[in-house]
Amino acid sequence: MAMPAICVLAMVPISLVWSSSPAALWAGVQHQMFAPALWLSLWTSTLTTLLALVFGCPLAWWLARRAGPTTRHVVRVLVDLPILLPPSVVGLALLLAYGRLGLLGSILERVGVHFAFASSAVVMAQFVVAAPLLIQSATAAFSRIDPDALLVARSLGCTRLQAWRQVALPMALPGVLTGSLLCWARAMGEFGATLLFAGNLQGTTQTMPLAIYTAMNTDVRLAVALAIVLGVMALFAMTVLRLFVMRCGYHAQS
Amino acid sequence: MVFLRVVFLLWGFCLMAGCQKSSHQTNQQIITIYAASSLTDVVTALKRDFEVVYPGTHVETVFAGSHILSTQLAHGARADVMMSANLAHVQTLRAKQLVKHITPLLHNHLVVVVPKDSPLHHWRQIQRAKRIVIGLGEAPIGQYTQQLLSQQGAEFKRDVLTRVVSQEVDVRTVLMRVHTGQADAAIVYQTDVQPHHRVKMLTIPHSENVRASYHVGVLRPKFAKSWLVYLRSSRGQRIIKQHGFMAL
Repeated sequence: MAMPAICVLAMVPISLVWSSSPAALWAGVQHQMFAPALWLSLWTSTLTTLLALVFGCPLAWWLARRAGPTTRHVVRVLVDLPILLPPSVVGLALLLAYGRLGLLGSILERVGVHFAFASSAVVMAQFVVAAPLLIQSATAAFSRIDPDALLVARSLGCTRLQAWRQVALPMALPGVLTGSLLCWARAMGEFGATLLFAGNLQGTTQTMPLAIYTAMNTDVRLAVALAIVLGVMALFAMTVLRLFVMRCGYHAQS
Repeated sequence: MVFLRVVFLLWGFCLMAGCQKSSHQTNQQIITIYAASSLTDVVTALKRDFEVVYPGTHVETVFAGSHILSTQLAHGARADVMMSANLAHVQTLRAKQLVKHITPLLHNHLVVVVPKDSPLHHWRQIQRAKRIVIGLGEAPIGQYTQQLLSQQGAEFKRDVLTRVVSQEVDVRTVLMRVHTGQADAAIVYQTDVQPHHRVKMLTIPHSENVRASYHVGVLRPKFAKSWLVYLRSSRGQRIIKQHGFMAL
Protein backbone atom coordinates (compact mmCIF):
# COMPACT_ATOMS: atom_id res chain seq x y z
CA MET A 1 0.00 0.00 0.00
CA ALA A 2 2.98 2.29 0.49
CA MET A 3 4.25 1.77 -3.03
CA PRO A 4 1.87 3.96 -5.09
CA ALA A 5 2.66 7.09 -3.09
CA ILE A 6 6.40 6.32 -3.14
CA CYS A 7 6.35 5.87 -6.93
CA VAL A 8 4.51 9.12 -7.52
CA LEU A 9 6.84 11.04 -5.19
CA ALA A 10 10.01 9.41 -6.50
CA MET A 11 9.23 10.55 -10.04
CA VAL A 12 9.92 14.16 -9.00
CA PRO A 13 13.68 13.86 -8.41
CA ILE A 14 14.09 11.08 -11.01
CA SER A 15 12.56 13.09 -13.85
CA LEU A 16 14.61 16.18 -12.99
CA VAL A 17 17.92 14.34 -12.85
CA TRP A 18 17.04 12.17 -15.86
CA SER A 19 16.40 15.13 -18.16
CA SER A 20 19.67 16.87 -17.32
CA SER A 21 23.37 16.26 -17.78
CA PRO A 22 26.45 17.68 -16.02
CA ALA A 23 27.16 19.86 -19.07
CA ALA A 24 23.61 21.25 -19.16
CA LEU A 25 23.72 21.80 -15.41
CA TRP A 26 26.98 23.75 -15.68
CA ALA A 27 25.61 25.81 -18.56
CA GLY A 28 22.55 26.60 -16.45
CA VAL A 29 24.66 27.67 -13.49
CA GLN A 30 26.64 30.02 -15.72
CA HIS A 31 23.54 31.53 -17.33
CA GLN A 32 23.09 35.25 -16.65
CA MET A 33 19.71 34.63 -15.03
CA PHE A 34 21.08 32.20 -12.46
CA ALA A 35 23.28 34.19 -10.04
CA PRO A 36 20.95 37.20 -9.47
CA ALA A 37 17.97 34.90 -8.92
CA LEU A 38 19.85 32.66 -6.50
CA TRP A 39 21.20 35.58 -4.51
CA LEU A 40 17.80 37.30 -4.36
CA SER A 41 16.08 34.09 -3.27
CA LEU A 42 18.68 33.44 -0.58
CA TRP A 43 18.62 36.85 1.05
CA THR A 44 14.87 37.42 0.82
CA SER A 45 14.03 34.01 2.30
CA THR A 46 16.58 34.44 5.07
CA LEU A 47 15.26 37.92 5.86
CA THR A 48 11.70 36.60 5.80
CA THR A 49 12.64 33.84 8.25
CA LEU A 50 14.37 36.30 10.58
CA LEU A 51 11.35 38.62 10.48
CA ALA A 52 9.09 35.65 11.11
CA LEU A 53 11.20 34.70 14.13
CA VAL A 54 11.24 38.22 15.55
CA PHE A 55 7.53 38.90 15.06
CA GLY A 56 6.21 35.34 15.01
CA CYS A 57 7.67 34.07 18.30
CA PRO A 58 5.96 36.68 20.49
CA LEU A 59 2.69 35.94 18.72
CA ALA A 60 3.22 32.21 19.18
CA TRP A 61 4.03 32.69 22.88
CA TRP A 62 0.90 34.78 23.31
CA LEU A 63 -1.21 32.20 21.45
CA ALA A 64 0.19 29.32 23.46
CA ARG A 65 0.11 30.80 26.95
CA ARG A 66 -1.71 34.10 27.22
CA ALA A 67 -4.62 34.42 24.80
CA GLY A 68 -8.20 33.82 25.90
CA PRO A 69 -10.10 31.05 24.13
CA THR A 70 -12.11 33.32 21.78
CA THR A 71 -9.30 35.62 20.70
CA ARG A 72 -7.01 32.60 20.36
CA HIS A 73 -9.50 30.99 18.01
CA VAL A 74 -9.84 34.13 15.87
CA VAL A 75 -6.09 34.71 15.66
CA ARG A 76 -5.48 31.03 14.86
CA VAL A 77 -7.84 31.32 11.88
CA LEU A 78 -5.90 34.38 10.69
CA VAL A 79 -2.64 32.44 10.97
CA ASP A 80 -4.04 29.38 9.19
CA LEU A 81 -5.67 31.32 6.38
CA PRO A 82 -2.55 31.95 4.21
CA ILE A 83 -1.71 28.22 4.48
CA LEU A 84 -5.18 27.20 3.36
CA LEU A 85 -5.55 29.74 0.56
CA PRO A 86 -3.82 29.30 -2.80
CA PRO A 87 -0.83 31.67 -3.09
CA SER A 88 -2.46 33.40 -6.05
CA VAL A 89 -5.29 34.47 -3.75
CA VAL A 90 -2.74 35.74 -1.24
CA GLY A 91 -1.02 37.69 -4.04
CA LEU A 92 -4.32 39.19 -5.13
CA ALA A 93 -5.15 40.15 -1.54
CA LEU A 94 -1.72 41.75 -1.11
CA LEU A 95 -2.26 43.70 -4.31
CA LEU A 96 -5.62 44.94 -3.04
CA ALA A 97 -4.08 45.84 0.31
CA TYR A 98 -0.66 47.28 -0.53
CA GLY A 99 -0.95 48.02 -4.25
CA ARG A 100 -0.94 51.67 -5.24
CA LEU A 101 -4.72 51.80 -5.41
CA GLY A 102 -5.04 49.41 -2.48
CA LEU A 103 -6.53 49.87 0.96
CA LEU A 104 -3.25 50.69 2.71
CA GLY A 105 -1.20 51.19 -0.43
CA SER A 106 -2.82 54.52 -1.29
CA ILE A 107 -2.01 55.82 2.20
CA LEU A 108 1.54 54.46 2.15
CA GLU A 109 2.02 55.98 -1.31
CA ARG A 110 1.40 59.45 0.13
CA VAL A 111 4.00 58.85 2.83
CA GLY A 112 6.44 57.74 0.14
CA VAL A 113 6.51 54.00 0.85
CA HIS A 114 6.22 51.83 -2.27
CA PHE A 115 5.90 48.10 -2.19
CA ALA A 116 5.13 47.45 -5.84
CA PHE A 117 7.96 45.98 -7.91
CA ALA A 118 10.54 46.22 -5.11
CA SER A 119 12.38 43.47 -3.27
CA SER A 120 10.37 44.48 -0.20
CA ALA A 121 7.29 43.18 -2.02
CA VAL A 122 9.02 39.82 -2.41
CA VAL A 123 9.72 39.69 1.33
CA MET A 124 6.16 40.78 2.06
CA ALA A 125 4.69 38.01 -0.10
CA GLN A 126 7.04 35.42 1.40
CA PHE A 127 6.28 36.57 4.94
CA VAL A 128 2.52 36.29 4.56
CA VAL A 129 2.77 32.85 2.96
CA ALA A 130 5.60 31.36 5.06
CA ALA A 131 5.48 32.95 8.54
CA PRO A 132 2.28 31.06 9.52
CA LEU A 133 4.24 27.79 9.32
CA LEU A 134 6.75 29.10 11.86
CA ILE A 135 4.01 30.53 14.07
CA GLN A 136 2.08 27.23 14.09
CA SER A 137 5.18 25.23 14.86
CA ALA A 138 6.36 27.61 17.60
CA THR A 139 2.90 27.76 19.15
CA ALA A 140 2.84 23.98 19.43
CA ALA A 141 6.35 24.01 20.93
CA PHE A 142 5.52 26.72 23.47
CA SER A 143 2.30 25.08 24.59
CA ARG A 144 4.19 21.86 25.33
CA ILE A 145 6.33 23.62 27.94
CA ASP A 146 5.22 22.53 31.40
CA PRO A 147 4.28 25.66 33.41
CA ASP A 148 5.40 23.81 36.56
CA ALA A 149 8.94 23.57 35.19
CA LEU A 150 9.09 27.35 34.96
CA LEU A 151 7.65 27.68 38.48
CA VAL A 152 10.26 25.26 39.84
CA ALA A 153 13.02 27.22 38.15
CA ARG A 154 11.67 30.44 39.70
CA SER A 155 11.47 28.80 43.13
CA LEU A 156 15.08 27.74 42.77
CA GLY A 157 16.09 31.35 42.42
CA CYS A 158 15.95 32.05 38.69
CA THR A 159 14.71 35.43 37.53
CA ARG A 160 11.85 35.41 35.02
CA LEU A 161 14.26 35.98 32.14
CA GLN A 162 16.64 33.29 33.36
CA ALA A 163 13.81 30.80 33.71
CA TRP A 164 12.68 31.59 30.20
CA ARG A 165 16.17 31.41 28.76
CA GLN A 166 17.39 28.32 30.59
CA VAL A 167 14.22 26.25 30.81
CA ALA A 168 11.60 27.37 28.30
CA LEU A 169 13.87 28.14 25.37
CA PRO A 170 15.78 24.82 25.24
CA MET A 171 12.50 22.93 25.50
CA ALA A 172 10.90 24.88 22.67
CA LEU A 173 13.99 25.23 20.48
CA PRO A 174 13.53 22.12 18.28
CA GLY A 175 9.97 23.14 17.47
CA VAL A 176 10.96 26.73 16.71
CA LEU A 177 13.86 25.59 14.52
CA THR A 178 11.71 23.13 12.61
CA GLY A 179 9.24 25.95 12.09
CA SER A 180 12.03 28.23 10.86
CA LEU A 181 13.18 25.58 8.42
CA LEU A 182 9.68 25.08 7.05
CA CYS A 183 9.28 28.85 6.82
CA TRP A 184 12.56 29.27 4.99
CA ALA A 185 11.82 26.47 2.55
CA ARG A 186 8.34 27.80 1.87
CA ALA A 187 9.78 31.30 1.32
CA MET A 188 12.40 29.92 -1.10
CA GLY A 189 9.63 28.22 -3.05
CA GLU A 190 7.15 31.10 -3.03
CA PHE A 191 5.88 31.68 -6.54
CA GLY A 192 2.24 32.66 -7.05
CA ALA A 193 1.98 35.53 -4.62
CA THR A 194 5.37 36.92 -5.68
CA LEU A 195 4.48 36.84 -9.38
CA LEU A 196 1.19 38.62 -8.80
CA PHE A 197 2.28 41.11 -6.19
CA ALA A 198 5.96 41.80 -6.84
CA GLY A 199 6.38 41.44 -10.61
CA ASN A 200 9.26 39.87 -12.50
CA LEU A 201 12.52 41.80 -12.88
CA GLN A 202 15.98 40.31 -12.81
CA GLY A 203 17.90 41.16 -9.66
CA THR A 204 14.97 42.90 -7.96
CA THR A 205 11.96 40.60 -7.88
CA GLN A 206 12.94 37.60 -10.01
CA THR A 207 13.46 34.88 -7.42
CA MET A 208 14.50 31.30 -8.31
CA PRO A 209 10.93 30.04 -8.83
CA LEU A 210 10.16 33.01 -11.08
CA ALA A 211 13.42 32.48 -12.97
CA ILE A 212 12.47 28.82 -13.46
CA TYR A 213 9.06 29.88 -14.75
CA THR A 214 10.60 32.46 -17.09
CA ALA A 215 13.22 30.01 -18.37
CA MET A 216 10.61 27.28 -18.70
CA ASN A 217 8.88 29.30 -21.40
CA THR A 218 11.95 29.45 -23.58
CA ASP A 219 14.71 27.07 -22.63
CA VAL A 220 13.59 24.01 -20.69
CA ARG A 221 17.19 22.88 -20.12
CA LEU A 222 17.98 26.09 -18.24
CA ALA A 223 14.81 25.63 -16.19
CA VAL A 224 15.89 22.09 -15.29
CA ALA A 225 19.35 23.30 -14.24
CA LEU A 226 17.85 26.00 -12.02
CA ALA A 227 15.41 23.48 -10.58
CA ILE A 228 18.12 20.96 -9.73
CA VAL A 229 20.26 23.57 -7.99
CA LEU A 230 17.25 24.75 -5.99
CA GLY A 231 16.42 21.14 -5.11
CA VAL A 232 19.95 20.31 -3.99
CA MET A 233 20.13 23.45 -1.86
CA ALA A 234 16.80 22.70 -0.19
CA LEU A 235 17.96 19.15 0.51
CA PHE A 236 21.25 20.36 1.97
CA ALA A 237 19.58 22.98 4.19
CA MET A 238 17.05 20.43 5.37
CA THR A 239 19.70 17.86 6.26
CA VAL A 240 21.83 20.36 8.16
CA LEU A 241 18.89 21.70 10.11
CA ARG A 242 17.47 18.24 10.81
CA LEU A 243 20.80 17.20 12.33
CA PHE A 244 20.89 20.42 14.34
CA VAL A 245 17.32 19.96 15.56
CA MET A 246 18.07 16.36 16.52
CA ARG A 247 21.06 17.50 18.57
CA CYS A 248 19.02 20.24 20.26
CA GLY A 249 16.24 17.77 20.98
CA TYR A 250 18.80 15.48 22.55
CA HIS A 251 20.16 18.29 24.72
CA ALA A 252 16.72 19.40 25.79
CA GLN A 253 15.87 15.90 26.92
CA SER A 254 19.10 15.25 28.80
CA MET B 1 -6.73 0.75 4.95
CA VAL B 2 -10.42 1.28 4.31
CA PHE B 3 -9.74 4.93 3.70
CA LEU B 4 -6.96 4.14 1.22
CA ARG B 5 -9.21 1.71 -0.62
CA VAL B 6 -11.89 4.34 -0.93
CA VAL B 7 -9.33 6.80 -2.26
CA PHE B 8 -8.14 4.30 -4.85
CA LEU B 9 -11.67 3.44 -5.90
CA LEU B 10 -12.46 7.12 -6.34
CA TRP B 11 -9.28 7.59 -8.33
CA GLY B 12 -10.22 4.67 -10.55
CA PHE B 13 -13.66 6.11 -11.14
CA CYS B 14 -12.16 9.45 -12.07
CA LEU B 15 -9.84 7.78 -14.60
CA MET B 16 -12.75 5.81 -16.08
CA ALA B 17 -14.88 8.92 -16.28
CA GLY B 18 -12.01 10.72 -18.01
CA CYS B 19 -11.65 7.93 -20.57
CA GLN B 20 -15.34 7.79 -21.25
CA LYS B 21 -15.52 11.50 -21.76
CA SER B 22 -12.75 11.53 -24.32
CA SER B 23 -14.08 8.50 -26.21
CA HIS B 24 -17.56 9.97 -26.20
CA GLN B 25 -16.42 13.27 -27.60
CA THR B 26 -14.77 11.77 -30.67
CA ASN B 27 -18.21 11.67 -32.34
CA GLN B 28 -18.13 15.45 -32.31
CA GLN B 29 -15.29 17.11 -34.14
CA ILE B 30 -12.97 19.16 -31.95
CA ILE B 31 -10.47 21.73 -33.18
CA THR B 32 -7.82 22.76 -30.66
CA ILE B 33 -6.38 26.22 -31.15
CA TYR B 34 -3.35 27.64 -29.37
CA ALA B 35 -3.46 31.42 -29.69
CA ALA B 36 -1.31 34.36 -28.57
CA SER B 37 -2.69 36.06 -25.49
CA SER B 38 -3.29 39.28 -27.45
CA LEU B 39 -5.79 37.30 -29.54
CA THR B 40 -7.85 36.29 -26.49
CA ASP B 41 -10.90 38.44 -27.28
CA VAL B 42 -10.93 38.12 -31.05
CA VAL B 43 -10.40 34.35 -31.08
CA THR B 44 -13.10 33.87 -28.46
CA ALA B 45 -15.49 35.85 -30.69
CA LEU B 46 -14.35 33.93 -33.78
CA LYS B 47 -14.83 30.62 -31.98
CA ARG B 48 -18.42 31.50 -31.04
CA ASP B 49 -19.29 32.50 -34.59
CA PHE B 50 -17.46 29.52 -36.06
CA GLU B 51 -19.50 27.09 -33.97
CA VAL B 52 -22.66 28.70 -35.39
CA VAL B 53 -21.42 28.36 -38.98
CA TYR B 54 -20.12 24.80 -38.44
CA PRO B 55 -22.59 23.12 -36.10
CA GLY B 56 -21.22 19.91 -34.60
CA THR B 57 -17.70 21.25 -34.48
CA HIS B 58 -16.36 22.32 -31.14
CA VAL B 59 -13.41 24.72 -30.79
CA GLU B 60 -11.12 24.50 -27.79
CA THR B 61 -8.85 27.46 -27.13
CA VAL B 62 -5.67 27.91 -25.12
CA PHE B 63 -4.23 31.39 -24.64
CA ALA B 64 -0.71 32.30 -23.52
CA GLY B 65 2.36 34.17 -24.73
CA SER B 66 3.34 32.82 -28.17
CA HIS B 67 6.75 31.72 -26.86
CA ILE B 68 5.02 29.69 -24.13
CA LEU B 69 2.68 28.04 -26.64
CA SER B 70 5.64 27.26 -28.87
CA THR B 71 7.53 25.59 -26.00
CA GLN B 72 4.46 23.62 -24.92
CA LEU B 73 3.83 22.39 -28.47
CA ALA B 74 7.49 21.46 -28.89
CA HIS B 75 7.14 19.34 -25.74
CA GLY B 76 4.21 17.34 -26.92
CA ALA B 77 1.11 19.46 -26.34
CA ARG B 78 -1.55 18.62 -28.93
CA ALA B 79 -3.11 21.33 -31.06
CA ASP B 80 -4.40 21.66 -34.61
CA VAL B 81 -3.59 25.31 -35.12
CA MET B 82 -1.23 27.80 -33.52
CA MET B 83 -1.95 31.50 -33.95
CA SER B 84 1.26 33.33 -33.06
CA ALA B 85 1.90 37.04 -32.60
CA ASN B 86 5.04 36.72 -34.70
CA LEU B 87 6.64 34.54 -37.34
CA ALA B 88 9.65 33.26 -35.37
CA HIS B 89 7.74 31.09 -32.91
CA VAL B 90 5.84 29.20 -35.61
CA GLN B 91 9.05 28.88 -37.61
CA THR B 92 10.79 27.04 -34.76
CA LEU B 93 7.93 24.55 -34.82
CA ARG B 94 8.20 24.33 -38.61
CA ALA B 95 11.88 23.44 -38.22
CA LYS B 96 10.84 20.63 -35.88
CA GLN B 97 8.35 19.47 -38.51
CA LEU B 98 5.47 19.96 -36.11
CA VAL B 99 3.99 22.81 -38.10
CA LYS B 100 3.22 21.71 -41.65
CA HIS B 101 2.68 25.12 -43.20
CA ILE B 102 2.50 28.77 -42.20
CA THR B 103 0.23 31.55 -43.42
CA PRO B 104 0.23 35.23 -42.46
CA LEU B 105 -2.93 36.26 -40.63
CA LEU B 106 -3.15 39.94 -39.68
CA HIS B 107 -1.30 43.02 -38.45
CA ASN B 108 -1.24 44.90 -35.21
CA HIS B 109 0.47 48.01 -33.84
CA LEU B 110 1.86 49.07 -30.50
CA VAL B 111 0.53 51.75 -28.15
CA VAL B 112 1.58 53.20 -24.83
CA VAL B 113 -0.97 52.88 -22.04
CA VAL B 114 -0.99 55.07 -18.94
CA PRO B 115 -3.46 55.39 -16.03
CA LYS B 116 -6.61 57.47 -16.74
CA ASP B 117 -5.40 60.35 -14.58
CA SER B 118 -1.83 60.40 -15.91
CA PRO B 119 -0.40 63.78 -16.94
CA LEU B 120 1.34 62.17 -19.93
CA HIS B 121 -0.31 62.88 -23.28
CA HIS B 122 2.27 61.95 -25.90
CA TRP B 123 3.77 58.50 -26.26
CA ARG B 124 7.36 59.72 -26.21
CA GLN B 125 6.76 61.13 -22.74
CA ILE B 126 6.91 57.52 -21.56
CA GLN B 127 10.49 58.30 -20.57
CA ARG B 128 9.06 60.53 -17.82
CA ALA B 129 7.00 57.72 -16.29
CA LYS B 130 8.46 56.45 -13.03
CA ARG B 131 7.44 52.81 -13.31
CA ILE B 132 7.28 51.19 -16.74
CA VAL B 133 6.26 47.61 -17.44
CA ILE B 134 7.08 45.85 -20.71
CA GLY B 135 6.96 42.33 -22.11
CA LEU B 136 9.69 39.77 -21.54
CA GLY B 137 12.33 39.63 -24.27
CA GLU B 138 11.27 36.13 -25.34
CA ALA B 139 7.61 37.07 -25.82
CA PRO B 140 6.64 38.69 -29.14
CA ILE B 141 5.39 41.82 -27.34
CA GLY B 142 8.82 42.17 -25.71
CA GLN B 143 10.58 41.79 -29.05
CA TYR B 144 8.35 44.36 -30.75
CA THR B 145 8.85 46.71 -27.80
CA GLN B 146 12.65 46.46 -28.09
CA GLN B 147 12.33 47.12 -31.82
CA LEU B 148 10.13 50.17 -31.21
CA LEU B 149 12.55 51.63 -28.67
CA SER B 150 15.61 50.96 -30.82
CA GLN B 151 14.04 52.90 -33.68
CA GLN B 152 13.97 55.96 -31.41
CA GLY B 153 17.71 55.87 -30.82
CA ALA B 154 19.97 54.41 -28.16
CA GLU B 155 19.51 57.26 -25.70
CA PHE B 156 15.71 57.07 -25.68
CA LYS B 157 15.86 53.30 -25.37
CA ARG B 158 18.23 53.46 -22.41
CA ASP B 159 16.06 56.10 -20.69
CA VAL B 160 13.00 53.91 -20.99
CA LEU B 161 14.69 50.64 -20.07
CA THR B 162 16.18 52.07 -16.86
CA ARG B 163 12.63 52.80 -15.71
CA VAL B 164 11.35 49.31 -16.38
CA VAL B 165 10.23 47.78 -13.08
CA SER B 166 8.87 44.47 -14.33
CA GLN B 167 8.94 42.29 -17.43
CA GLU B 168 5.86 40.15 -17.86
CA VAL B 169 5.50 36.86 -19.71
CA ASP B 170 2.53 37.93 -21.82
CA VAL B 171 0.94 41.13 -23.04
CA ARG B 172 -2.24 40.80 -20.97
CA THR B 173 -0.21 40.77 -17.77
CA VAL B 174 1.66 43.88 -19.00
CA LEU B 175 -1.67 45.67 -19.51
CA MET B 176 -2.96 44.45 -16.12
CA ARG B 177 -0.11 46.28 -14.36
CA VAL B 178 -1.38 49.66 -15.60
CA HIS B 179 -5.05 48.71 -15.38
CA THR B 180 -4.64 47.85 -11.68
CA GLY B 181 -2.67 51.04 -11.09
CA GLN B 182 0.63 49.39 -10.19
CA ALA B 183 2.61 50.86 -13.08
CA ASP B 184 2.69 54.34 -14.65
CA ALA B 185 3.12 53.23 -18.24
CA ALA B 186 3.28 50.10 -20.37
CA ILE B 187 3.71 49.16 -24.01
CA VAL B 188 1.05 46.81 -25.40
CA TYR B 189 -0.76 46.09 -28.66
CA GLN B 190 -3.35 48.60 -29.76
CA THR B 191 -6.01 45.88 -29.80
CA ASP B 192 -5.47 44.91 -26.16
CA VAL B 193 -7.06 48.06 -24.80
CA GLN B 194 -10.79 47.67 -24.19
CA PRO B 195 -13.25 50.37 -23.08
CA HIS B 196 -13.60 48.78 -19.63
CA HIS B 197 -9.89 49.16 -18.89
CA ARG B 198 -9.09 52.12 -16.65
CA VAL B 199 -6.30 53.29 -18.92
CA LYS B 200 -5.55 56.08 -21.38
CA MET B 201 -4.13 55.08 -24.76
CA LEU B 202 -1.28 57.14 -26.24
CA THR B 203 -1.09 56.21 -29.91
CA ILE B 204 2.20 55.97 -31.73
CA PRO B 205 2.29 57.50 -35.25
CA HIS B 206 2.70 55.03 -38.10
CA SER B 207 6.10 56.41 -39.06
CA GLU B 208 7.46 55.60 -35.58
CA ASN B 209 5.50 52.42 -34.95
CA VAL B 210 6.39 48.80 -35.61
CA ARG B 211 4.25 46.33 -37.49
CA ALA B 212 3.42 43.17 -35.58
CA SER B 213 2.70 40.39 -38.06
CA TYR B 214 0.63 37.51 -36.75
CA HIS B 215 1.02 34.11 -38.37
CA VAL B 216 -0.95 30.90 -38.31
CA GLY B 217 0.90 27.61 -38.09
CA VAL B 218 -1.00 24.48 -39.08
CA LEU B 219 -0.06 21.39 -37.07
CA ARG B 220 -2.79 19.01 -38.23
CA PRO B 221 -4.06 20.11 -41.63
CA LYS B 222 -7.04 17.74 -41.66
CA PHE B 223 -8.58 19.28 -38.56
CA ALA B 224 -7.43 22.83 -39.17
CA LYS B 225 -8.88 23.18 -42.66
CA SER B 226 -12.37 24.44 -41.80
CA TRP B 227 -10.94 26.94 -39.29
CA LEU B 228 -8.56 28.37 -41.92
CA VAL B 229 -11.35 28.62 -44.48
CA TYR B 230 -13.49 30.39 -41.89
CA LEU B 231 -10.70 32.86 -41.00
CA ARG B 232 -10.49 33.95 -44.63
CA SER B 233 -14.27 34.16 -45.07
CA SER B 234 -15.99 37.54 -44.95
CA ARG B 235 -17.59 36.64 -41.59
CA GLY B 236 -14.22 35.85 -40.05
CA GLN B 237 -12.54 38.91 -41.55
CA ARG B 238 -15.36 41.15 -40.28
CA ILE B 239 -14.85 39.95 -36.69
CA ILE B 240 -11.08 40.43 -37.01
CA LYS B 241 -11.59 44.03 -38.17
CA GLN B 242 -14.20 44.69 -35.48
CA HIS B 243 -11.56 43.92 -32.87
CA GLY B 244 -9.22 46.53 -34.30
CA PHE B 245 -6.81 44.22 -36.11
CA MET B 246 -5.67 45.00 -39.62
CA ALA B 247 -6.52 42.23 -42.04
CA LEU B 248 -4.02 41.44 -44.76
